[in-house]
Amino acid sequence: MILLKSRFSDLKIISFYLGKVAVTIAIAMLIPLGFAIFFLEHAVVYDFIIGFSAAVSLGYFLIARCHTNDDLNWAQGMVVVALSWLIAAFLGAIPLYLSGHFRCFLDAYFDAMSGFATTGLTLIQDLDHLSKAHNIWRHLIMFLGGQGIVVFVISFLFSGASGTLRLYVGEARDQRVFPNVINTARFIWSVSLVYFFLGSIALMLAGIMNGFTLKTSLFEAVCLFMAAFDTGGFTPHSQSIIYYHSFSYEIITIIIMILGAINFKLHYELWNGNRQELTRNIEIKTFTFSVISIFCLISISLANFEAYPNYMSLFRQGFYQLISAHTGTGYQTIYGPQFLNQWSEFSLIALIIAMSLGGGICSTTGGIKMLRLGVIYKALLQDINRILMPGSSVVVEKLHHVKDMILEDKLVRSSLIITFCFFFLFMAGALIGTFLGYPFLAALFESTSASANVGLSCGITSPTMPLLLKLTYILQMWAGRLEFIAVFILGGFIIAFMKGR
Amino acid sequence: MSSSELINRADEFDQQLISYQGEAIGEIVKTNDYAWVNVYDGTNAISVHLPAQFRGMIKYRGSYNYRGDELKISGIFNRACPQHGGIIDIHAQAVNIIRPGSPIRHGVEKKKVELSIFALLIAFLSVAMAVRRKR
Repeated sequence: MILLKSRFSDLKIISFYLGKVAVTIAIAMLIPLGFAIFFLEHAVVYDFIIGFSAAVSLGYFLIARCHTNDDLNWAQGMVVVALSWLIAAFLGAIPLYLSGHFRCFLDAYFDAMSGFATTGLTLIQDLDHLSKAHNIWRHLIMFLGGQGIVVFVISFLFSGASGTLRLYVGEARDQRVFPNVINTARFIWSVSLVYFFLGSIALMLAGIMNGFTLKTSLFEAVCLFMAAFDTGGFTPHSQSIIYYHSFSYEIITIIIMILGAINFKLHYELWNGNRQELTRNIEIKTFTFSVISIFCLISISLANFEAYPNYMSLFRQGFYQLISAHTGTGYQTIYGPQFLNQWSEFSLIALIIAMSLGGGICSTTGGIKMLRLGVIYKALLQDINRILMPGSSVVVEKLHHVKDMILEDKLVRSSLIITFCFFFLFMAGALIGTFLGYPFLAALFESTSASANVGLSCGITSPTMPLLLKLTYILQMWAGRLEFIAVFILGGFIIAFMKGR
Repeated sequence: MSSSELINRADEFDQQLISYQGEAIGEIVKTNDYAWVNVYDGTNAISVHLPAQFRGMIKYRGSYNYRGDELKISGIFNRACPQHGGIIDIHAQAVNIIRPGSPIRHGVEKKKVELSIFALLIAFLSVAMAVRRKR
């Protein structure tokens, strides 16, 4: 393979766009800064001033030094996306680290990456004494990450550049709602903001019913919504959803998690009154089949294992963890070690499968995703039909995803490649975990959770876990969120820079 | 009994009378004749189901602004409570305040103020450089 050496102009254009991303992160930091002032958390104000200034300095320095009117090509676009997430996590980690709730900067970086990648694994200490401003920041980075950092930048800082398509695709969004990427990005934000108001009001009412004050209910609602809709999984409390002791909270978060797992293109169809899509769409069909079948397996296994004293408890715990896993959210109504101590191995494996599958393409979830699973299933059917039919027959397989499509080899190939990459990532993390002394199943659980950006933990993720594992999970969260392509191209770009001709 | 012991050896302590100590954190969730308080022992927080009569005695609950009351709870531990959707909880029979909570004063660190001023200055210079370049 011939590698063309990267030129200085490549670095210049990449740096220029990275500068824009840094400025966007700086603008986002003004929100927690406002919260710190509103809630009279004076000591915290300085954490965000430092973070904001660092982001502005880096952003405008790069914009000034590398200013260009050139458009991005595909490779540059992918490199910008891959590096954007690393830089955003670095800048986002600054105020988190200054909060004093992390053992070291790497732990804060871990949480920032977990937030942006909408994973939900956390290394924070003493979360229950964290300031409101820092908490809002943790959840806001999850919201930004779920929408896509680059989608955020496209929505607000670009005005029609054709390079936006490369950035959009690089951020693991295969589909556009509108032909124009900027309109698509703005639609994604519009949908999210409408659900934000509705979901927050529902959660706020649940909080008031719980006896919380209006101010507390609203704060909790905003945090929970951002993490649930973007299938992230952070909560303002160390106990996750257990903290609330409320069936209403559980029901509302289940609905929000499912909404977050639905393809934005499907949201668009539903908003336009095309309700038939709900029963015809391959992603919805696959998701429904998957949830029902895995829930049956988990229920039978938990019942045989006598994990819960009655069916209501089994349903509440089993179904909640399943939806949380399948949508890639990571909210827990049980403590991490209970997965290993009280759930059977079979139900754990079923949950690992659910985590690996994820939700819709062009949604906020991670993992293999429903469309790919549906495509692989259809391809398998097509091959079986080919064998059964006479040799001269032409076998055509169709699938419905917003419109009727003929199953093409290109689609099958790309689905299989991404699926294979995910399996490799799950196994690599599990083997590293096992090498470091954890049981294989627990290591696979945590590895799948990190790679598919889920956030459920069986107890391995903690500030005291080995450094190598922290680095592994950071890499997994990053690569899993971007669905590999941008990461591979960054790798190729670096090799070309060093070795190319 | 620590929270880690209760979570990791839940089967062993299920339906047993146990004693647990920690800081009351967050909001108290009110139900009809009972309330929920989450008690944090430095590692995990465990849910404690209290008769309403104990609710009023908890004055401070841990948050950014307060160190919560340190409570000693005696009660029945449930590995998967049949009454409360299968969660781990303690049904309190007796609650004592070991140490009352207090407000936490968060002083502004001089180092952070200095760093903020310096960082703002650098940010201003970067913006100025970008504006000049654009012109």
